[in-house]
Amino acid sequence: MEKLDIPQGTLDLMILTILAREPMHGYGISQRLAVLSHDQFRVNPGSLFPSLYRLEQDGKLKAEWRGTENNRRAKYYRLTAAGKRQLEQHRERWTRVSFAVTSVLEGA
Amino acid sequence: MTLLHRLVSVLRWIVDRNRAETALDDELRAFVDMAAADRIRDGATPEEARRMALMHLGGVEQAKERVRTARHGAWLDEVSRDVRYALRMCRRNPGFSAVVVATLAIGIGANTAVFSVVDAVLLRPLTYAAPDRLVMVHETLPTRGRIPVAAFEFEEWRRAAHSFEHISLMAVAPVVLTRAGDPERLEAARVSASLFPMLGIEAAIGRTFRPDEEIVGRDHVAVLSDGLWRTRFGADSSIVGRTITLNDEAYLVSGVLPPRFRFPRLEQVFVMGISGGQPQVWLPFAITDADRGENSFATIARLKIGVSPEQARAEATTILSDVLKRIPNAPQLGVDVVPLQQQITGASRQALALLWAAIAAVLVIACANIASLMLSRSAARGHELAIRGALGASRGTLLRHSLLDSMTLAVLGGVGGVVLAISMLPLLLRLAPPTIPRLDEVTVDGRVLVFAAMVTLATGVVVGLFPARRAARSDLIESLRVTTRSASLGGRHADFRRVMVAAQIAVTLACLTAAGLVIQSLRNVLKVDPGFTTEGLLTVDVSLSPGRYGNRDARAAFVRQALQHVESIAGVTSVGFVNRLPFSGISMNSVLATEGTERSAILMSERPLADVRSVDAAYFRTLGIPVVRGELFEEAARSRSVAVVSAGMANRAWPGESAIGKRFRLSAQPDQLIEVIGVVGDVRNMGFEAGRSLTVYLPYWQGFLNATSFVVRTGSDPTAAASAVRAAISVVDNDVPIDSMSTMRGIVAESVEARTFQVTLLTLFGAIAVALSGIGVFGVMSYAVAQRRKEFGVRMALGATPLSLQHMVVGNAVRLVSAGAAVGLPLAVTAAYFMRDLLFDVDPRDVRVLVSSSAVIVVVGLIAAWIPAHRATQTDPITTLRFE
Repeated sequence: MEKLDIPQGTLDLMILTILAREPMHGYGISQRLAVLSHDQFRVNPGSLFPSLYRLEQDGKLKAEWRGTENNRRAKYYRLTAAGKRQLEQHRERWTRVSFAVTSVLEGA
Repeated sequence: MTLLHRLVSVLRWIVDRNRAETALDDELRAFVDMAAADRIRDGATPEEARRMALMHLGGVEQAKERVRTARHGAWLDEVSRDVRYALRMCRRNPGFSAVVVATLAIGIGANTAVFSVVDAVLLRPLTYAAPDRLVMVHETLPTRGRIPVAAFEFEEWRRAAHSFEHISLMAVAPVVLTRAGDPERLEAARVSASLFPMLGIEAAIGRTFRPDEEIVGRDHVAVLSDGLWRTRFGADSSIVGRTITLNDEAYLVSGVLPPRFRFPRLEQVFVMGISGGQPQVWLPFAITDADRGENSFATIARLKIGVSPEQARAEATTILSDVLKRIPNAPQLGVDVVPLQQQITGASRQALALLWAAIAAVLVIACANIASLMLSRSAARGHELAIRGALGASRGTLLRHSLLDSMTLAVLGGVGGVVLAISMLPLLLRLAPPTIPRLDEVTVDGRVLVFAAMVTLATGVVVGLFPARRAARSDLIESLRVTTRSASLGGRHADFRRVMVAAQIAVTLACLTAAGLVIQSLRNVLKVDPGFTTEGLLTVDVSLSPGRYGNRDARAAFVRQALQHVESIAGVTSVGFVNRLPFSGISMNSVLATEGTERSAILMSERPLADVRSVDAAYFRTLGIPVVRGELFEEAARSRSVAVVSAGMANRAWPGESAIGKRFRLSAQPDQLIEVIGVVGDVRNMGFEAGRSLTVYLPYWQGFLNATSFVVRTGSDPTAAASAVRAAISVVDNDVPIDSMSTMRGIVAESVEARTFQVTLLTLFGAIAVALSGIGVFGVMSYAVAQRRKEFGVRMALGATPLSLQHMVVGNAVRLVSAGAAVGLPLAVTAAYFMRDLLFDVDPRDVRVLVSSSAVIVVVGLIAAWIPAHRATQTDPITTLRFE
C-alpha cells in the first residue's frame, strides 16, 4: 500500500511525542515513527532534519552527542521544559481538531 | 525568552558556521550508517545497504540544503549569496562598473562635502548650553533698521526685564599685547561677567570673570582663548595669576578658556561696521558713562524657559519706551530680538542653500545617466533574466537581484564618495570665504556619514528601480523567443531613456542659469566704480596702544613722523593716511547737523548719518579721489576746524547750494563747529555693493584716531616696498605692531570673496552637469543609431545621402534637447527667483543669462549628437543588410 504523506503541521507534534518518552537520535525517530504509525507514515529525512533543527533553535529540544547501544556516536534530542509545554498545547489542539473532523465525517 | 534564544541561535549560526556544518554532516552520516546497519541485519550486502540508506535519505546535499533553509537566520545566507552574485556581476563588466562607481563617488562625495559644511554652519545647534534660548537683542531705528545697543539701554533691560535668564553686553575692543615677544594686535572683546555662565562655558584653567570685576578699577582682568594661550604663552598654566601688558596697562590673567569653546567672529555678532575675528582675549565690561550714550555694543541674552523671542521683544520695547519718555526729542528706538543662531548664520543661509541645491541637482543628473545605463544593461541581459526565470527564479528574486546589483554599485560609489569628501573638504574650506561662520566646526562626523549613507541608499534605489521593475515584469516567453542581440529593442525602454535625458537637460539648464546669474552678479559688482583707483597701492595697518599714545596729539605726532619716513622711501610716489581704509568693513558714523539746525526738532534719524574718516591731504591724491571743489587740508592752518566732504554729503546736507564755507556739527563732538573747505568725489567706503558713502573727512590732527592705516602708492609692484615701509615704521616706534600689510587690490578682491566662492563652485557644478548631460545625449543617440543601423542601410541603398542621415540624427537630438530646455526654462526661472537676494543688479529672469545657458546646453547637445550622427553616415548598406 502506498505510504501516507504526513499531514501538514503534525510532524512537529509527532516528533515531540516520540521524544517525550525518551531522548532519541534522528534515525531512531524516523524508525519509531514508522513503527508507531504501523508503517503508514514514512518520514523523509529531508523533512525530519529541518524540523529537528528548527525545534532545537526554538528551544523546544536540546541535543547532545552520545554513544548508541551499538557503539556509534549519534546526536540525541530530548525535550526541554518549553518543548513539553508545546507538546501539551499541540496535543490538546490536535485532539480537538481530530474530534471535530471525525464528528463532521460521521455526522454526514 | 524565545526571541533571545533565537537570536543567540542565529548568532551562533553565523559565528560558528563551520562547526554547525560539520555537525550536520556528522549527523547525516550517522543516520546513513545506522540505516545501512539495519539493512545489513536484514540480510543486504554492505554496498547495497549503503545505497538503499542513501536513497532513503533522498540525497545528502538536498537534505543539508533543506536544513539550512529551514533554520532561522537562513535569510542571512541568502543575502550574502545575493551580494556575492551582485559583486560577480560588477566584476563581469568592469568598465561599466567603474564608470558607474566613479560617477556616483563624485556625486555622493561632492554632496557629502557640501553637506558637512551646511550641517556645521546651518543645521547643527550652537555648541553652547541650551542654544535654542540664546538670542541677540538689537535696537532699531525706523530709518536704518537694526543698530547696535547703548550700555544705558542694556542696563535698563538687565534691571527690569523678566524675559531673560541672563543678559550680557559685549564690545569689540582690540588690544595691543606688549612685553611678551613682538608687539601684537589681538582681537579682544569686553563682556559682562554673565556671558560665560550663560553659554555654559567654564575656564579650563583658573576662572572666568566675577560680577564685581564689572566695576571700573577692578576690571584689569583678562581671560585668554586657548589658541592665544598656546601660541603666545607656550601653553604654560602658570600664566594664570600673572599679569600681561595690554594697551600698556597691566592685566591679571584670571583664566584660560577650554579648546572646544568657539565664539563667532565678532563681525557676525555685531549689526554694523565692525570687523573682528574670534576674540583672543576677553576683558570684563566695566560700563563707563561714555558707554551709556554710545550705540556700539552687542547684547546676547538667554531667554527664560517658555519665553518666546517675540515676548522678550515686547517686554524690552516697553522698558525702552518708558525710558525714552523721559528724554526730550528722543529718537524712535525699537527693539529686535533674534535667535543667536539665526544672527550668526543668516547671511550665509541662502548662499549655502543654493550650493546645496546645485550639488543635489548634479547628483540627480548623474543618477539619470546611471539609471539609463543600467536600464540598457538590463535590456541586454533580458535573455539571461528570462532563462533564470524559466529555471524557477521567482520575480521577487529577480527584482531583488536587480536592486542589489544597483545597490552594490551605489555602496561602492558611496564608500568612494566618503573618501573623496574627506579629501576634498580641506580644499573646499580653503576656498570658502571667512565670512561663512563656524567653518572651523566642519568635519566629516557621524551625522555626515549618516547623510552619506542615506544618499547612497536613495541613489541605489533610484538608479536600480526602473531596471528592476523591468526585470520583474519581463515576459519570459517573449524574451526567450527573440535573440539576445535584438532583445534590447523595445520602444518603452528607449522612451524612458529619452525622458531621462530631457529631464537631465532641464535640471542642467537650471544649474547653468544659477551659475550664469552669480557670474553676472560678480561682473556687475566688479564693474561698480568704487570711487578710487585700486591698482599700485600698498596698505598698512598699525596699532597704537592707548597707553603710550593716550591722546590725539601723541597719535598725530606718530602719524606725521611715519608719513615723512615712508614718503622718503625710494619708489614711493605718494603716501596718505586714513584711520580706516575703505573696504575694510568698518566705519565710524556720526549724525551731522548743519549750522543753525542743531537745536531744531528734526529727529536724529532724519539727519544725515556721516561716515567720518580722518585723513591727510595726500590721502586723496594717493587714492586718486578727485577734488571737485574747494581745497584740501593745510597743516599750516592747524588751528582752524575744517573738513572736506564727499559730493554726495554736500548734496544731502546743503542741497542746491555750494557746501564750501558751510559749517556743521557732528554728534560725536557736538561742541565743535566745523567748516567745509573742500568737496571731493564719492567713494564706496563700505564696498562695491554699498551705496556711495556720505563721507566727512577730518584732518587727522583734528579727527578721530581710533585706528591707523597708511596707503602707499609705488611706481611698480606695491608689495616690493613692503619691507622698506615696515622698516620706516619701526624707526618711528619699534613697539608699534604692524597688524597687516596688503595691497588695495587684495582688499578689494577679499571684499568679493563670498561671490567668488559662489561663482567658483556653481561654475564647477554647472560644468559637471553639462558634461553629464552631454554624456547622456551621446548615450541615447548612440543607442538610437545602433538600433537603426539596418534602417540607415536601407535608406542609403535607396539613395539617402550621408548628409541627410546626419541631419536626421542631429534633428532628433535637437528635438530632445529642445524638449528638455522647454521644461528647464520655467525650472531655471523658479530657481533664479529663489536666489534673487543673492544677485547684484541682475534680474532673476535676465534674458541674456537664460539665452546663453540655453545656448550652452544646445551646443553641448549638438556636439554630443554629432559623433553618433557621423557614425550613422559610415553605415555601409551592403554589410548592414547582409548582416541581418
